[in-house]
Amino acid sequence: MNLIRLVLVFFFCIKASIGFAQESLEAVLQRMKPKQAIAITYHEKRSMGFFSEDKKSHGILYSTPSKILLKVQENPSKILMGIEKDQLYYYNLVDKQRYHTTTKADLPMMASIEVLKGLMSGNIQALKKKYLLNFKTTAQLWTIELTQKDDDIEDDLQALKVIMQGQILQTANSLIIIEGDGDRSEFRLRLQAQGKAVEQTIQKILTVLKDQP
Amino acid sequence: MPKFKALYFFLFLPFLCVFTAFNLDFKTDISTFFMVGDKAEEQGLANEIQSGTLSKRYILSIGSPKTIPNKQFIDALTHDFKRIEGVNDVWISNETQGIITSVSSIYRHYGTQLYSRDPQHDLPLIFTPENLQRRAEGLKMGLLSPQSGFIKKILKYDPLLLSLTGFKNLSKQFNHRFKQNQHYQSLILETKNSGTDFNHQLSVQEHIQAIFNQHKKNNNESLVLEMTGVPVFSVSIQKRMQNEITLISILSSIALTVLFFILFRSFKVLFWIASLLIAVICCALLMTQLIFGFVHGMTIAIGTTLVGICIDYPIHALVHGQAFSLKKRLSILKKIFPSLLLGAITTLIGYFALGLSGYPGFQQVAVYTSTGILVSLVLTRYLLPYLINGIELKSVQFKLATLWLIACQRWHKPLLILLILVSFGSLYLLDRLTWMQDLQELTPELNALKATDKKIRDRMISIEPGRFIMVKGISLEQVLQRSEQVYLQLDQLKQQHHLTDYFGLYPWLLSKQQQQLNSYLFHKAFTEETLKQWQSALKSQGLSVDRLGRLNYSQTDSLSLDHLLKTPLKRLLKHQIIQHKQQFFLMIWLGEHNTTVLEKLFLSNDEAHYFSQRDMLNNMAIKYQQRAQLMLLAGLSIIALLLIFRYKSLKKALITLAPACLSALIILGLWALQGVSISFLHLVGFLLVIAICVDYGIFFQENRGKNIHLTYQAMTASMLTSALTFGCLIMAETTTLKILAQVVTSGIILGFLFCPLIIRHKT
Repeated sequence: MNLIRLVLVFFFCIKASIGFAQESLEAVLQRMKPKQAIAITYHEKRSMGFFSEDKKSHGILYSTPSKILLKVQENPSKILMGIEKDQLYYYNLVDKQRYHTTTKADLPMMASIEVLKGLMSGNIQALKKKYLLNFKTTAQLWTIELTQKDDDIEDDLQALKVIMQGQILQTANSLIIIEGDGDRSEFRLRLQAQGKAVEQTIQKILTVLKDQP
Repeated sequence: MPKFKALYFFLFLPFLCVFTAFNLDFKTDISTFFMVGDKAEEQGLANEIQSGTLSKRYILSIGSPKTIPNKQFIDALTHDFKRIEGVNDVWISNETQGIITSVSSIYRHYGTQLYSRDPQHDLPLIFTPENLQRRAEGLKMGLLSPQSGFIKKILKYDPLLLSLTGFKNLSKQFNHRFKQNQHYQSLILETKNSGTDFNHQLSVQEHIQAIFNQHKKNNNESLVLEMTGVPVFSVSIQKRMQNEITLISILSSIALTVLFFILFRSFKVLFWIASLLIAVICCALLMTQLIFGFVHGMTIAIGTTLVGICIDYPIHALVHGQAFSLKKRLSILKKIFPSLLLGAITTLIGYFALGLSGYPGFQQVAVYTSTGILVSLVLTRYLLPYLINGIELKSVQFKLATLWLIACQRWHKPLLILLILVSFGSLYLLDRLTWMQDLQELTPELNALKATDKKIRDRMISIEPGRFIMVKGISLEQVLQRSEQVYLQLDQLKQQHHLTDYFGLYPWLLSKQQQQLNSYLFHKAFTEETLKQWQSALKSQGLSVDRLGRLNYSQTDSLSLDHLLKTPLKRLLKHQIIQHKQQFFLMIWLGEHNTTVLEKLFLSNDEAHYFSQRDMLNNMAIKYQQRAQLMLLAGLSIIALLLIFRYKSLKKALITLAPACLSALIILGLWALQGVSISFLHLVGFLLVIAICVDYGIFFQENRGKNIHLTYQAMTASMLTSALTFGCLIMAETTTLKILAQVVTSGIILGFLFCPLIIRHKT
């Protein structure tokens, strides 16, 4: 009897632990959608075939519910990059180089930007048109893996891959982008702040990016 | 037999009309009427404007002073414009991203061919340690920038990024070439058919407007669409011409019908004369179609006056043959026919001279009217009496004409003195006559379109429209080589601040010769030492020596224009190269510049000309003005010789010619007094005045009916019909037609009035 109770308790504990550890794609995407302006610190490691060593940088990522995305690199040099609606802005504060285009422009980096925008807005259907989506979980981690479909891959390139990971019931803490030519960017992410103060910071950065007075 | 002749004619006429309608190829492109050049480049340019790339493009300007056009709105419009049937492509005028993508995919294979226009000077600079260091640094920055994607595509083939050397100023050039006006977005729309294809272009324009209106409504936008381009001008001119042809034809038909009915008061006569004239016009159209392969709208517009001339012969036949039997009419006609024939020949000489003026359109008018005159003459002589057989004729008397005839007899001396004084006065005033310098003055009806065109181009482009350097050659290679020499000259002008910028084919293309030289010199200059320096520079920037340090530039064939024209870059380049007959022309666009300096620099250059479209047109006008003067004199001389031969008397010939010449002289004097600028069109009008008025002189001089009163009545009817048909041209908006109306109508009336004053008859 005690043995049966023990087994049942054990069974229910396991079931409970599995139930608590269950994660779904919808839930993850829901968490990724910012409900207010958020600031996420990142550490990036970039492995590029044309460089002899990995490039490391860190800075802050900003996002708002209105789908503004900003990347402020603090180190090794100050670079601002941002997307507002379908406009992309870039400003290198060291050499004062500015760049402005649309997200529809035929630039390789746009693919990964579109993936991130899709994930953060929860627009899975649009992503599934161009990417194979794989969602898996372990006891501690959830993983979303997006692989570019064959039709969209250019000759002599591999499929673009975007892998996002996070702790169960938590937001993403890791992002890996593997480009078609093998170059790779790995981000470690940590939520820093959120709210009105972050919103104000975002507006200031946008003003500088757009070169507005 | 007479009845059968009339019947056969009546049955034959509908077939003739249907046959004509089915075989007519109608054109209304104004440039084919006027534009032709003597020089090959002028012909090439004219051809390009008529049917080349330039003729197929619209510039659409969307915006407003208060609103900035939304990118999504523009993108949606672009998408829908592309789907219009007959549209080849649509793109944003200053769009660079597509070009950047093309550059990375095409030019990465041609780094060693296109890196420089002057490799002897540039290579030593490229291969210095400092430059290689800077290059490596730039490479690193590029790889870490948003443009890294397209740079990586190039690096695989061109680690030194030589292929981008020529493009480093592209952004600056685009800023020079295309103005940034955020309130207006300009789109270029290219159609499949030529801009002179009226039906196609009208449909495209209607669709463009409909799509824009729909999007505007859906998005609640307050933007405005304006468009310009060769097709816009072409459709507007052709629409106007078609409307005017219809209006003038209807007006002159009604006016002539009424006049004719007043003259002869017989529907039957009206019917047969109208039928005769329809046959005349059909024959004239068919002959023109046969010789030229098409009939121009302007030919028909000017040629409607043919009716007023051709009707003269039947009128003379009717007036002289009224109230007589068929036999008597035939006899009278036989008697007066030599005068009609001589009159027709002098008129033909006038039109023949017109045809030799050089304008392709007037050659058509000459053929059209000459055919009409001959056919009218033949039908009048051999058919008309049978058509009106059995019809009693009684023409109305023109009392004013009779009074004038009497006045000329009664007060001959004072009136003649007055005429002589006025003539001398006009002669004296001829010195003051001014010639039109700018052909633009001949088209004031296009001023609104020209203003819109200027407004749109000012918003988007800094290239001086209509002024460029035109390099010519017998092959594309030769043209490219010559243009490379011209670039050197233009670079010097830039340094001297006589020119802000220019836009030739470099960096997009160099001649094969230059590309081969570039490649040869590159491989010669690239040593082991250079390689080591490059690898050292790479290492200092943390770049991979393994991936970027080997520099295996393989030899490839030269980049050709044909290859480029198969890529999106053809949008930028296609309209800069023209091939016409056996020659090639390259246009180098210019930014703001000192026109005097450039004119002087290229004045004695056989291979490259400084070209101004406006100056070209005006030079053509001056050339044809001189030619028209020559033709006028030649025509006059031949007519005079003919009359001398006919009358065997110089005095008689000159007296016969005098009414025509004096009417032209007095009109010229009047214009000189008023300060009116005259052009070749006015001279063309005078040629017609003389050709027609000489007929009056001949009829009055010969008076074959032996009844001067009747002769003058016939001349009155004939003058009224001619004045009426030419006078109807005044209703047109087209300045060309208005000028002809003014000159010819006033000349005809004066010539008619001078006949009884100058040519004496005993009455």
